[in-house]
Amino acid sequence: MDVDNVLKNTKLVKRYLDCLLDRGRCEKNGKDWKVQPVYSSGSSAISFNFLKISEFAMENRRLAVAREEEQDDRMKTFIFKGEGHTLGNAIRTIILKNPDVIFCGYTIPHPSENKLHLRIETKSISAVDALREGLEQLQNLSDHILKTFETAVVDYKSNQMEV
Amino acid sequence: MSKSKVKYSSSKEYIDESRNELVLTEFEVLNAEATDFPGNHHGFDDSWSFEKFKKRLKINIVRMENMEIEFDLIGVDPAIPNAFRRILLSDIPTMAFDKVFMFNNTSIIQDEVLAHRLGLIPLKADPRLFEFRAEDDDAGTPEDTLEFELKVKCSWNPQRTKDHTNPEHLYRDFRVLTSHLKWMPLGGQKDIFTPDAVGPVDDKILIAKMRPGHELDIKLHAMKGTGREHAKFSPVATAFYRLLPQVKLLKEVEGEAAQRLQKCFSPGVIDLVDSGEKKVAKVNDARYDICSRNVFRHEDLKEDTVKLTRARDHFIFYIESTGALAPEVLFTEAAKILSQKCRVFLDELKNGL
Amino acid sequence: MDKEGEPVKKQPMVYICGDCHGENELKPRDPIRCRECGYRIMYKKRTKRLIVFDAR
Repeated sequence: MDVDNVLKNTKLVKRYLDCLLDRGRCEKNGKDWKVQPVYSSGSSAISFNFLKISEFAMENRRLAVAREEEQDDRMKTFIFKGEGHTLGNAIRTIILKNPDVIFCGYTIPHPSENKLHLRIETKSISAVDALREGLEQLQNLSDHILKTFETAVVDYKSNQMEV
Repeated sequence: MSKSKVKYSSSKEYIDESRNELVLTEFEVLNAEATDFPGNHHGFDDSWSFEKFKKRLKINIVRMENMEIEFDLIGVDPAIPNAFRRILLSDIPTMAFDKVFMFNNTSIIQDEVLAHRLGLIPLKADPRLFEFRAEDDDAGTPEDTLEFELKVKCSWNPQRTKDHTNPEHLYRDFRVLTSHLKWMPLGGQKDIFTPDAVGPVDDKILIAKMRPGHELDIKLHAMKGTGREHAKFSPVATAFYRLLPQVKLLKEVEGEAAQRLQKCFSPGVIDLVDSGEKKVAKVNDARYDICSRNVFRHEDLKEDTVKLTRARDHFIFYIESTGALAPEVLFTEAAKILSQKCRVFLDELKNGL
Repeated sequence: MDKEGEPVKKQPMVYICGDCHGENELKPRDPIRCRECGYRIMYKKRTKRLIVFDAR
């Protein structure tokens, strides 16, 4: 759950508030946050609830690091939530093109868990930087393919008009 | 190592070929794995460079129709077209019937089978103009739902004559078609859409067959979803790519052997050209060869006569749309989704791990 | 029939003839017999209750 996005959307904020204040229906996320504090009176209940929200937001990040005990910045296993071979193989290929990268590979540890594990090991730069570079390169590549494709479509259409 | 009989004059020739071509031999395909990564081949710079990529990339549209497109995507790694293919299949959303409110169904097709059939009908509605429905929302809003009604009752044709057995003549409305679906605009939808812009892609899709007395009374909710959730949301009938086939004749083949050689390939790949009294085989265009490797069944043709390869980085991409979005629009959407996937995780990195 | 319970609905039930598929209104104690063709097997009509399905 992206708290910033929720706060931007007045409709959603209202829905969550209604839930927290027992004014309306609760959806699944709302119920999770609504933990009744044992000791509280009035105001502290709200702060308790907001604490719960930020915790929940942390859990709902799309990217995390596996095996956090690993000290070396040059080797890391990243967990991509909600991604699979589509992004996994593309990002692996492009990160391997980085001369500083010794190893890059991905796996989907379990088919019923929607998670992708991507491991990067480098010679000198940090694994996070290698990942960032890879993502930027893949984004540029994709944007450039889009642009090239669109011009190709325009060219094709104008050629068809002439014929 | 492979037991193949492909011969090379130098290791440089072998490396060049393995980087550029897949070789089809009688029993195996050589060089199937990509090896163009930094450090693998001495003397080659395989590191990523956007400028290099820009120079190498070529997109050429070969055929573009209402529902289909064929184009060449040249100068990319296999992972890229595969990402696009996977996104086309399962990440681009479309609208499809998802909730079926069955008020009456006295036809012989069972409720759940009928509901499933209805779900598979492709709709023309542009998914980009709709939102995903919230999980806890059962009613739907004009922003995320299209409502349709299917009310059909089969009856006898009053003008029928006794000697007829043809159902066309005997009954009225015995075939339930997509043309019977009636769009019921919600909220302000009437001002934004036309019935033609949101309805089924074809109005002659058969939904059920009935007999006099049978009746359907159904309300349907179409909503936005992706192929990842259910195949009915997939915007393509199919999307696939193949590598460009290449056929090279290593020596002159003439006469009866040339005719046999021609028959080993798809029509149009090998031409027979007059040369004096004999007909000589020549490669015309290997693009549409199916790469059957039938030549290897002929003892006299299998060795040192012909070399079958495929270009490593030349992808012939096909997209067949179901009709919701034009095929060229589908590819642009796929590219946007890949870019967006990267952006999501770049933002995550910006927020710190 | 049961006279003490809830008021018995006076509305006659409609049944479908198993032979000619015609609709027949039958009251309690009526002979079970089609008015059109005399056939003696009758079927109940389908429930009018709404059933919701996932189109999957």
